[in-house]
Amino acid sequence: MKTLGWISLLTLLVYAIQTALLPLFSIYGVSADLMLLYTTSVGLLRGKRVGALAGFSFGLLEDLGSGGFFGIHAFFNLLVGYVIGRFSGNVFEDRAFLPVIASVVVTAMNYVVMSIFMALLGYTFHPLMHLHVLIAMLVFQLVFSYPVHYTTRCFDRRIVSKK
Amino acid sequence: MSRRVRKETENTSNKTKWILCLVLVGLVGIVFAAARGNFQSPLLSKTISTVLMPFQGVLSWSANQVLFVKNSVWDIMTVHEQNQMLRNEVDELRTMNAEANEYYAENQRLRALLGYKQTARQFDFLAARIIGRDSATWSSTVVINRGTKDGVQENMVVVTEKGLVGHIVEAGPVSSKVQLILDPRSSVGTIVQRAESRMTGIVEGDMDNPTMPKMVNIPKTGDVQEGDVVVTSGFGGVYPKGLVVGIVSSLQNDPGGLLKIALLEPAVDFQKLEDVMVIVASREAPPQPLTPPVQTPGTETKVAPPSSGG
Repeated sequence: MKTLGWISLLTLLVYAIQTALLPLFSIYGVSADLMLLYTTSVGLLRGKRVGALAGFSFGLLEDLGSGGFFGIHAFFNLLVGYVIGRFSGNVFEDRAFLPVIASVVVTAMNYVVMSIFMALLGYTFHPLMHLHVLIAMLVFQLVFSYPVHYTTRCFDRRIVSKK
Repeated sequence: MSRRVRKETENTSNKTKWILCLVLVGLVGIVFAAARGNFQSPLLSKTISTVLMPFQGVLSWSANQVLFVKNSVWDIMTVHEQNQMLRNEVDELRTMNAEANEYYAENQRLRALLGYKQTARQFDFLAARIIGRDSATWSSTVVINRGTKDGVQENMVVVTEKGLVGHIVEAGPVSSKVQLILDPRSSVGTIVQRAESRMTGIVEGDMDNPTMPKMVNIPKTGDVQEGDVVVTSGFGGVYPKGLVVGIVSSLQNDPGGLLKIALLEPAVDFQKLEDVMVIVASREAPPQPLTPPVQTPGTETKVAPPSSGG
């Protein structure tokens, strides 16, 4: 129960940093999606089940905290947590490049999936016209991917050692 | 035993996949329903917002403080440079302001000239700017920026919207010299504009009083009063009729005792002369120059040489 409290606190803190701190340093109105990186790291560290659950929770938090399309973050983060967790067993989790590469992949995937959702919801959206946004986001994700993964890993190890 | 465990693991894995698919499909449905306004969770949303608020508030405040400090440090670091830039900008703006004032004054002058040009339709004007003054007798001769290439010729009349300035005495290719009516060598045939008077005379420059020309050759009994407007008479063929020369400021007796002299306040302020107009063509037929009358043979009198101007 105490562990869950710490995880919740860390999650809220990450989300608060993403929504309150990072927008001050945004480019083209874009800043890092820490919750996506956090989900990726959890997936890498804890596998598909925990990754999917964490992704769903983090995404739901984003959906509830922001006024965007409700459910869209929960959907995508769940998918990311599961897919990354599915492949995490085949790679060595301590490799530094892993979260970095994963962050690029999931950010690009996020862009594609969001574009598809927008199109399905009937909104006019030209993905190629927003490539500069994608590039800015990729840069942010690359910068923050390893610090987020490092923090998540340290936190995870602490929980494991306490248990 | 191991087969049983593997089977159980496979079952669990399939179960997870099914749950995942169901959740994903459910989420897609929620996304579409929420997008159409058919799904809302205000209570949960408010709760999350309430929980998040302290975190976001503290972080936002901290970030703003950091930004404030960063901006302050940056401002202090760049204050010298900013000061220099502002000084340069002030200098630049001052120059621009001076230029703008100059353009404004020029605009006013040109508007006045244009107004005169539109009223005096009998003349074709050529606008010119004074580019030089004779330093020895600076108020008597000026140089304008128009010459023979622009169609300027000697003896053309130079005016402003206020009145007569002088005439061209030397036309170069790109500039010309204008002899002002203040010049002692200048003589302009004039007439008092007042209908009851219509006294003629000659306006000359006065060496003793370079700013005020004088009207000479006025009979002692001539009807000339202070305040009379003096205009060109048109006699002489150089100056067209009706150009304002000045206003009679005072009257003096000629030292000879038979004539009187009127001192004129020129219509044009020669001290502020900058833009002028050259009359390059006139549709007004000038009166014939005065010719000496036919004299009886044997009783001829000597004829005085004609004056330099009008």
